[in-house]
Amino acid sequence: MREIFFKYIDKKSILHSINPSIKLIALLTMFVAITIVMDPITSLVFLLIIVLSTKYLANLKFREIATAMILSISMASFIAIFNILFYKTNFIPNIPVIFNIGKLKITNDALRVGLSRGIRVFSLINLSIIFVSTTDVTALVDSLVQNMRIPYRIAYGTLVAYRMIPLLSDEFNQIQASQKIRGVLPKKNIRSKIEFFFKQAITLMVGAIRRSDRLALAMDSKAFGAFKKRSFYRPERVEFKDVIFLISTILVILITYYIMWKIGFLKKLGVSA
Amino acid sequence: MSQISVNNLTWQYDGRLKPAISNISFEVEKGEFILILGSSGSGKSTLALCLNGLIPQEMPGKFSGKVKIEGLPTDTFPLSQLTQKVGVIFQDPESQIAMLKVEDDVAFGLENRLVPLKKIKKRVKESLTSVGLLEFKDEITSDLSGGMKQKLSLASMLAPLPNILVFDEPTSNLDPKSTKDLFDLIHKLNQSGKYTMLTIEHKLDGLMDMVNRVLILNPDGTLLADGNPRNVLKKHFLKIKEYGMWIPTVFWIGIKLKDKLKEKDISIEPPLTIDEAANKFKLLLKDIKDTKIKIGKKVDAKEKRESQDKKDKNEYKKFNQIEVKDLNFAYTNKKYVLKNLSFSVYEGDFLAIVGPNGSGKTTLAKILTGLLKPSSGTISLYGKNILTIDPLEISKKMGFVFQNPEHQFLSDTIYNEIALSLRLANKSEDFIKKKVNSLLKQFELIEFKEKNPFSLSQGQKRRLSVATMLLWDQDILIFDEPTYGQDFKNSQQMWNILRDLNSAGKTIIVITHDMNFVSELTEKVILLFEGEIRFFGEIRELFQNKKLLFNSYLMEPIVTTLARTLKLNFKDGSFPITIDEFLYLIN
Repeated sequence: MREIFFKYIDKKSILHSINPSIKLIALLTMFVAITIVMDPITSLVFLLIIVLSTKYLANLKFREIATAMILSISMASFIAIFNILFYKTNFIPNIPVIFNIGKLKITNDALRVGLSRGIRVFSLINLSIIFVSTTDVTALVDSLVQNMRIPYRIAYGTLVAYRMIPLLSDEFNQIQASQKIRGVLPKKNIRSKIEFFFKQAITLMVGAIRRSDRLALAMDSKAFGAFKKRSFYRPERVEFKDVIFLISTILVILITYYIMWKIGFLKKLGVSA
Repeated sequence: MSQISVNNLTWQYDGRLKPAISNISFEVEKGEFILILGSSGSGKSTLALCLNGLIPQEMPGKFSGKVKIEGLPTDTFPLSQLTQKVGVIFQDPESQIAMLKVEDDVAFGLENRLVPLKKIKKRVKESLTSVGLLEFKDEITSDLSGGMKQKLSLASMLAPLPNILVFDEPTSNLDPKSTKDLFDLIHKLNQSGKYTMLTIEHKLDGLMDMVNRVLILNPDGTLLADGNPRNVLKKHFLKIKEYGMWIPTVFWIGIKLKDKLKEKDISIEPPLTIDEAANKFKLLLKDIKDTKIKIGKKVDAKEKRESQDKKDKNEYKKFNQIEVKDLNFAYTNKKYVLKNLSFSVYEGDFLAIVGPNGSGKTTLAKILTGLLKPSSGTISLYGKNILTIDPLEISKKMGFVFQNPEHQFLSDTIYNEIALSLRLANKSEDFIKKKVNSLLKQFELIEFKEKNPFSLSQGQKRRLSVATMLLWDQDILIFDEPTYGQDFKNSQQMWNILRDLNSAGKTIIVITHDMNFVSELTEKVILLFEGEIRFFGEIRELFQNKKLLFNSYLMEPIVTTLARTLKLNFKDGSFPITIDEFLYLIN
């Protein structure tokens, strides 16, 4: 389980060099911009922009993000198919139908909404993949504290906790193995399985609490939280290029909106469909 | 003014009935190297936390007395400055590394103390250099080996430029080679003359030549002794033994030799370090060679070993219980953890699996018990492929005691913990009662039977986890580091338990770093190195092969080293591997 879908890929690229906080703001802006587009063609244009950025701005190769792509493709297709099959207009009597699947009627609206939602989900996940792949977690935290004034105790405290996650998952596997070898297995029913899970979780918690006590002592030994401020080993600054990057992102969004509106695809923005 | 002054120190944790340490007073001068001894639960770690102010400033409890570091009182002076002066390196590296990257972790304590960037850079580099990790500065901390993690913890403690270093059993998670590396590092730091050091440690053999003073804590947390190592160990030897503390192996040999030579009217002072032992014994042997003592028996090592207690065991009709053929194993990331292993385990075997951390020992044990599936190759248990056997059936034939006993605990009382799997197997309450009570007696846990398993001491937890494994009278028992982190007394107890089980005909497989344990108890050994079997055979043979041991990051037992320098060997040229054998050769 050490293989994770999303992880930082150490490379050189334009996106790698952008200040993490600015990159995060750009990411959120793109999120909003994509979410409020209901027209599938416009969504496709945004997707194209994302695919191009993956290659040219983030310098990522397909095989580097292949595992993450499996996740995004399957989620997007699930949402698309689910909406195409079960969108509310399909159930209005006497509505014009494009085609039938068994007893299910598929309407024009269902197809449009399904595709649009699928494409948007696909875009959003891929944006996240780009962000995670080009942003070192430590740099992100450093930048949030230095550039966004997030209190350092919270930010680094979270980072330390983040470091513990794989340890916990290892430990849980150990606990399960220890139980299994004792021949202590839950009965086949769900209740027994849930009970069992909770008992194992308690064992995990006892260990975790003890570890967090030790960790707290170690952090105190390192003077964590002793002062209001701290100095920084990795200074993070917002530079001119970061501002340019953010402005460009916003411009790309606005220009895309404008062109698509002129051509006639994009009629309105919203969140309802 | 002394650098550290402890005056009538008493500390009681909230919720405890008795103080963890009480009425402790001592002074430490600059540059001293002090060893703190005590059985488990005697308050050694508590004392360590009192020295940098974490007790009483960060822990709830009752504090009295005074501790001063360079004249500054630890109960009121700002913690950030106390922890800068006194660096503590703890047992578990995982819970003292804060950051994801090596250099960030070293910088962390400096950033928190508002050290300017230029100085941080300089000190990160210096600290990493002094522990030999500079080339790893960009590595991810969780990818480091246990030994490297401890070196990193040390580097992070050195960066704020402390004057005092406190080590709280930093080697207990480490294999012999990493332990030696860390000791060498401590040696180097000690010789630099910059640091005063206090250390809690039970692997004493590589340490004694640095120690200029020993403090011994009683089990109730009071101070038993304080002084020169030789005087203190000699004077309090009986108490030390009674309380079950670790003592240097050579001192132990010296005591035994002294007893043995007493009847011949030869007296000998027990040595403290290996060098001293070699010199002393050499002189002794030279002096008396022609007169009263004969050296070297005209026996082969094998005869000696078999003449011990194993005679009846050879009469067992040995048949093969586990057979491993061409075993390969990889976790998902395609890197093979085990490569091409083939071996058999016979009924009544006492087999050790040794090798440095990360060589695949625990993985192998997990495969043997069916917890992991081999990538290729087969494991047969009594001639049947293990993958085709029901897990419940396997657990009735084979027990596996994991390294962390707590992972097995599921119940609210010790009685229920043992009864659990019997109940799941629908045994009658009468049967369960008889079985559980007899196990509780056997493992000296009967008086705690209504207590919660988590409330037991380390040694008791260990014994409970063994007890829960013996319910089905399994023929094969596998132990992962059974003596890990235990004091001498508890370790001895565990050794005896394993020895008894083996004498009763059980097959025992032990994964361990404890070479003394291996040499004293086991018969056969598998040496794993980077997933391959480097050696499979008689234990004696392994310990004669110094080069193989060295190349595999293992150490021979102290007695063997000693015998080698003294040229004390059996007729067949082999060197003794146990203290008994060593003494046997001096007659």
